[in-house]
Amino acid sequence: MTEAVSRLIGVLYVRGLLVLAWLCLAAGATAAECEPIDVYSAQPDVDFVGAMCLLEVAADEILIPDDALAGSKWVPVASDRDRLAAPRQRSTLWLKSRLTNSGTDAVQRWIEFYPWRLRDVQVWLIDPRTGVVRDHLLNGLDVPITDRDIRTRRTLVPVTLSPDESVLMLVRIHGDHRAGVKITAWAPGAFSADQAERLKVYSLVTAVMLTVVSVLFLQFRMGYVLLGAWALSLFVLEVEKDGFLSFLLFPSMSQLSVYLITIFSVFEKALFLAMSVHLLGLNKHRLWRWSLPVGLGAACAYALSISVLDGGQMRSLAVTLHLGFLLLWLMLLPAALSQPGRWKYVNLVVLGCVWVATATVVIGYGQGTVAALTFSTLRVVVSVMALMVLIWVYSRRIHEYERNLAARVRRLEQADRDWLEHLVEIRTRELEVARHEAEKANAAKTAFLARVTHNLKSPLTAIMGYAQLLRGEPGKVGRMSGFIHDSADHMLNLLTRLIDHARDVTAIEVTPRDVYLHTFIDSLCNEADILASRNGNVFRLERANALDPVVRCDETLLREILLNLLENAAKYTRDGEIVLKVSTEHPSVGNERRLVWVVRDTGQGIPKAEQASVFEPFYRASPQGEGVGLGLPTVKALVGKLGGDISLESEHGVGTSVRVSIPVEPGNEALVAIARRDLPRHMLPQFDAGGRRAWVVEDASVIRELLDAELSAMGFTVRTFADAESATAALNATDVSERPTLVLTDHRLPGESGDTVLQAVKQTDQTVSVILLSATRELETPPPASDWQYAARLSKPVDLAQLRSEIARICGLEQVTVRLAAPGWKYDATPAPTTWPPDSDAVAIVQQWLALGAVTDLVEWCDSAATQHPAHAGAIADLRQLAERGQFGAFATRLQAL
Amino acid sequence: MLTGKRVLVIDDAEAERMLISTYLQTQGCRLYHAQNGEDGIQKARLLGPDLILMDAEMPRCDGFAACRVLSEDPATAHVPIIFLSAYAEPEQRVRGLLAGAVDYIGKPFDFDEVRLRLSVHLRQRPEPTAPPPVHGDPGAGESHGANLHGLLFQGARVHLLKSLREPPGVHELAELIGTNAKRLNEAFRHCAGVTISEYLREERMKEASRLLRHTDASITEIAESIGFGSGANFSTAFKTRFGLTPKHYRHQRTDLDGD
Repeated sequence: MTEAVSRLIGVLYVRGLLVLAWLCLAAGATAAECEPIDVYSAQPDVDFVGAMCLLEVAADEILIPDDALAGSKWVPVASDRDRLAAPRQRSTLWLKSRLTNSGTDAVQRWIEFYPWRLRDVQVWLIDPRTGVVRDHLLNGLDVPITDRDIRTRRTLVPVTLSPDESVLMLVRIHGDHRAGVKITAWAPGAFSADQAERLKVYSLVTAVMLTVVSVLFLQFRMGYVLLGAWALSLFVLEVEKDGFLSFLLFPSMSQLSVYLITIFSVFEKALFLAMSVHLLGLNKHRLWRWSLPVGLGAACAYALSISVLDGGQMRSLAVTLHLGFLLLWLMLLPAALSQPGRWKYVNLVVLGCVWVATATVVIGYGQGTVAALTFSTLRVVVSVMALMVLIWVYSRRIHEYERNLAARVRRLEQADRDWLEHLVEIRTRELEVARHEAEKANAAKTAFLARVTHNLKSPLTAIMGYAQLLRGEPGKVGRMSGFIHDSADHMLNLLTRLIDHARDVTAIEVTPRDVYLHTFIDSLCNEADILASRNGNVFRLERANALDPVVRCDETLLREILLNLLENAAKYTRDGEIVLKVSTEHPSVGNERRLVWVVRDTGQGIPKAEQASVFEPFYRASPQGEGVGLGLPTVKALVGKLGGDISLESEHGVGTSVRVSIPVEPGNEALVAIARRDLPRHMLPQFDAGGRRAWVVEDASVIRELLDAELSAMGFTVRTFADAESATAALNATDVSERPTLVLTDHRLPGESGDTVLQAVKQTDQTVSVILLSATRELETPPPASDWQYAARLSKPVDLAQLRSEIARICGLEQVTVRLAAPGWKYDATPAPTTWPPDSDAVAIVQQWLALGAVTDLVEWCDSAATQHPAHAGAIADLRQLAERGQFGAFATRLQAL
Repeated sequence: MLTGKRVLVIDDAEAERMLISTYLQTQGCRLYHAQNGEDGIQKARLLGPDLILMDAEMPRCDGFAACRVLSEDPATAHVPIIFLSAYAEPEQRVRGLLAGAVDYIGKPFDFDEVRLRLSVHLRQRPEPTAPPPVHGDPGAGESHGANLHGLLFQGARVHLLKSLREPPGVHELAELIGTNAKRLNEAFRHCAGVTISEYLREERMKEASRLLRHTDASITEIAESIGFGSGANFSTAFKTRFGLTPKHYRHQRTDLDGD
């Protein structure tokens, strides 16, 4: 304790003496004397340059150490620290100080001159007593690291002092830029530890920094990239102050680091400006958006210019650029403040802080303070915090932006949905209306169709009905009324199908029936003749041999198809020829066969290019043609219905040929409509054959029975045979008195044909008439060797009226008038009027009949009146006609007038 | 067969009235004309005809309304009414049948068909005003034949109607009424214009439509009662004849009754 106190007192005493001595010296001495520096107690974090003396000389003045020591202008550094700095100019500074070792052991100390970028540092260690130069050490950037005493980029000079030994350290610092000088003393161990520590910290920080920057870069957003780039440049700037980066990366190029730091300081400013512009939302601004390219361009230009500038100019230029960028930043403010957005103030404040920190550093650099070159904690802290805040703000903004975007997308989608719903609603309403309209239209259509049907069928009723009534008439009238009936019947068929089709009740249904093919063809030819003759065409039928007499198919559809084709041919042909060719095809297997119809004309033809479209609806060969162009499409559809094929060959100007092939089944004669039904059975002409004999040779039992019944009804005694052989046999077996007057035979029979029957009959008895009844009569010519002729050839189906009149003609029968009501069988109340004009009693009765609408009574009354009063027959006939027509009012008036 | 029957034709179109009358007069019917529904109802009440042929669409009072009135009037309810109309869709057929008609013939018609329907529907009741044709009337050879046909036809008809379910065959039937099959067939041809089997089918259909309208018997039961082996066969035959299936027919009836 006492020792300690005495020691303290000792130290204080010594110090006090020293101070006194220094004061004396300072006051009186011309040459300044500096305080010795105890290297033993010196700490690495204590700058002892302040305790040294300095001598400033002209930059290029070459002095030897002795001359320098002898210089008269030595001054203590403490008195004018500013003279340590000589920014951006070539300068030479001498420093001196006495180093002592107050310890008891020899100490080795590494004296460090800071900043390490001092270009040329020479140290002389001089024995203070003898003035002998103990050591001359060279260091600084110009000395490669390998040539240095201590191999580090830092400027270190080793000094070893024995206890109580002192040495005069003379230092010459020369260079083109000196921001200041700091001198510290390191224990070698502490230096190594510090070096290792720094390396560790820098490596760590570098790793962290690189990670952060890559993360920022990888966001691929301009804001993050600029933030990252700025942070990186700042980082490079800060770590390069210690030369870490250049040493690490380019250890052999220590010169580079000087440039690196200035270049990066310029880049840092440029990036700061660009980042501010971006973060403040001015990147769309008319002028400011150029800040990034211009700033980077300037920085690059600067980086390139260092090869032509010397150190001082380079640094001056850098400072100018720094100031320029900082001023530009200030000019940014008005534009930034006018930007919308809630984050701009935060951004501005943070960026402002960074700006202030940067400006401080720049000004410090401009003035040349050492602080500008050291690792400035304040600035780094400010920058790091600013960076964090800026990143946070930026991320918030992006987040907000994205949220806004999402919300906008949602709003747009919602709007779209609303619009769609609106559309759907409108469309639904429209559809509803349309449906309603359609229903109304459909109801109207149904009603209209019902009316049309009714209105078309009513006249048909009359046409067909009266035609039926006239069928019974003998001769031409009966035959022609048959034609009328046939046509009306076809029309009725078409009408029924059309109406069904229009009512959508049924699609057109195929209803195959057994038909006599030849009769069908004949009736088709009748119509084709009429059609063809319209344009002066000639119609010709080509009938192949061996057509089936009876086939099973839909007659109406087939007729419709062929009539359509014939009509088309007739329409487009003038003064030419229309040929209908029919044949049978037996493809491959089974019972299947096809009827092949070819309609060929010598008309205008269809050009190749148009042939494909003729089956399309509403196509017409010639624009001026009549019709709507539905013919061929309809035909095609109908052919399809029947399972057939249609093909067309045409040559323009030569003609057209349409080929239709329809599959048919062989028909069964037993199922065919064997007799025409167009004449009421009771209205057939009546004959009385008076028991004459008639034979029927027919294989189809239905027709045999029909003929049997018919002939019996005409008063024949009938005998029937199923084939020619039995009939011939029977003929030979019967004697003359039993022979028939009349033989009816079919042509196609199981064995021998009808011709055999004819021959047999005629050979036996020439007076016997033979009538041929055949489904194929057109083809069968009488056997050439024979003179025998059929008395008549009749086609199937059997036309009963024709049959009867033919038979009557051949047998010379008289028509019998039949009265169904027994003559003389009269109603009580049908007295003939006794007088004419009738008396009041008769008129009263007639009026009663008129009231009842009693047509028959009135007609009968008129008839009897006409018989009784032939003189008034004319007037009575008029009355009768009125009665027949049911014109009871007119009848009454006429009666009154009498 | 139709001789002496009094038929009232209710139709507004003169040509058609005349057409059907001309034909029926050749068949010996006594014709009465009415020009619309109203006129028809009045005349039907006065006359009590044997049968009414009715057009559907007429001025003043249409056929359906007239038919309903007539079939509800006790004085005329027994008179069979047959529609004769160009409105021949199934709906209208049903409408006509439900209005009380016994049948519906679509225009244009076939005279033989008209005759067949008439012969099926005309009731064979004794005719008080018209004496039966005198047998052996002089100078009426044809008439004699016609009357013989009529007798055979009537006799056979009675037998057929008695046993629609299992009708006798042609030969059996001929035996029952003491003639041969050929004769009988001729008689049917003469009187009804069709063969016995065709006539039988017509009678069956008539009975079926009556049963469908007036009873609740199931379709299978009806099919059996009129001699159809299966309901399906019956349905097909019915549809061919009336244009719609028995089921549909009955539904239509229920629908219209619902109205």
